Amino acid sequence: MALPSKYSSSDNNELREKLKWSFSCAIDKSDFLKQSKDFKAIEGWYHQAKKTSDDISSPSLVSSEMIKELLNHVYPHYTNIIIEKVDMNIKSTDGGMQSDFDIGIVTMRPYVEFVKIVNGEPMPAAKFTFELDIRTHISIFKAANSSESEYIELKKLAIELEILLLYMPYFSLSESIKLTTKTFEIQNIRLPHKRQK
Amino acid sequence: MSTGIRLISSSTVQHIANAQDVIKANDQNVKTYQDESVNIEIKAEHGRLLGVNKENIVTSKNNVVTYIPDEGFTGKDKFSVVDTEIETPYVDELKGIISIDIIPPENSNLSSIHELAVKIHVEKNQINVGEVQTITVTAFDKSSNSIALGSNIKGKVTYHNRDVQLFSGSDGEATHSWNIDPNSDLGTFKVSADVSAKGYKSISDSTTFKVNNKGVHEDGGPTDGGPPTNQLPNNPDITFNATLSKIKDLVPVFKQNDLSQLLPLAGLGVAAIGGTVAYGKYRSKKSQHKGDNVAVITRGGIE
Repeated sequence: MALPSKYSSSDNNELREKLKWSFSCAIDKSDFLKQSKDFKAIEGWYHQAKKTSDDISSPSLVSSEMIKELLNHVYPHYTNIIIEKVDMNIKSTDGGMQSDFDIGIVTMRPYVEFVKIVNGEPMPAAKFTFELDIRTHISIFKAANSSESEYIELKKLAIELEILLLYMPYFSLSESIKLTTKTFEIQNIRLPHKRQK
Repeated sequence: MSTGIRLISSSTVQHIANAQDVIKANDQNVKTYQDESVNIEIKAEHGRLLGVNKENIVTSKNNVVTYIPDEGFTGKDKFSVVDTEIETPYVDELKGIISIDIIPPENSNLSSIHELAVKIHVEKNQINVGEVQTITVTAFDKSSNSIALGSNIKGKVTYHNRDVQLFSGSDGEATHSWNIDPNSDLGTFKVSADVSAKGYKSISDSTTFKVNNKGVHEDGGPTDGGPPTNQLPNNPDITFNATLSKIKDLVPVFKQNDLSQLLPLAGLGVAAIGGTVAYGKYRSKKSQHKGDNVAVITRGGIE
């Protein structure tokens, strides 16, 4: 199957941007999280350290740091899973015609820790643990053996993402709290063929 | 591929009061994505909107909203447009808020419309967390220089476009006091006020103040005692950063005064700023050392 003439494969920045947007929705929209003593306490640390956010979309430094850390860990982990599943799919068809397929629910538990350092001495970390449940549907462009290519070209990546808050550092949650659910699609995505480290 | 929301209007377009002007919202400005359902929230300050529900969410097809100015309202109105999926949207004041001018219908008597002037007094231009801030907004009739009785004031305090305090008043004055939360954000807070009154052209104005950690101003100066160093001693409303424009705006208020009387005060202000800079340099070394004692690091992973 030839690529469409107008095809211009996006790199995976859009996936990264959409994950960032999802985390931003989950954290900035959660009054429970932002109004919690846990959150306020860490904001107080930043005030003591005389640091404020320069990010207009996330005026809270705690929010923006949390989103950044989540993204830095979830994005490579998730893309590695996609690459692995696509590789398996290609192998199962021996490089022949691939059909659309679903990745089952992928669950991961990313965490973010804040550590206050006073006079060079680190205090006990304040840890927030989240759960991500991700359903992914993949459409592949290429029928050729992708192992010759540096990239895997995907026609479409459809994602349903649920973000939950499992644990907070000081406040004990009796059950997990759903922060947001996002559904989105990315067209013409290109992922590196080799796994990211 | 991503698109967003755009209000199709222009600050240069003049709208006729009580006429039904159509404002369309689609494409650009609020960052969101085309392939997702987006809840667009639109609010107007001085008029009704058709095509939105009780929560101001746009419900009409193609996001077309009809705006009907309040009867008799003239002046500036503004619309804020946000993607409600996110509490702190990717907009700034220039992109997410659009202003239009409402002018009287053609058959109305223009000469019967009077002008307002507004004065925002912030008690402490620099304030510590935990202290009480007081804001007084006063509306004047520009021609008589007297308080515009019957005028309505809507005021708010914002931080990075997030509402922190809301207040209002009638009969030409609004006073609001509150305690700055010990966990408050630090930095510049904006105070803005919209004033409207029947028979008057509405007016808006804004000013800012700074919230500091206890003990040290952002400029390194002391926090207790005396007026803020960037204020004129006998007129705390005028900051030196905006002296020229504020003097221009306040000409009707200082009607009986000669502007030249302000020049010696300006000299005093410059001297005060010079003194503060010198003092700030002395203090900054100390505060910087104190600030260096605390740091915060983040780390993360997948369990």
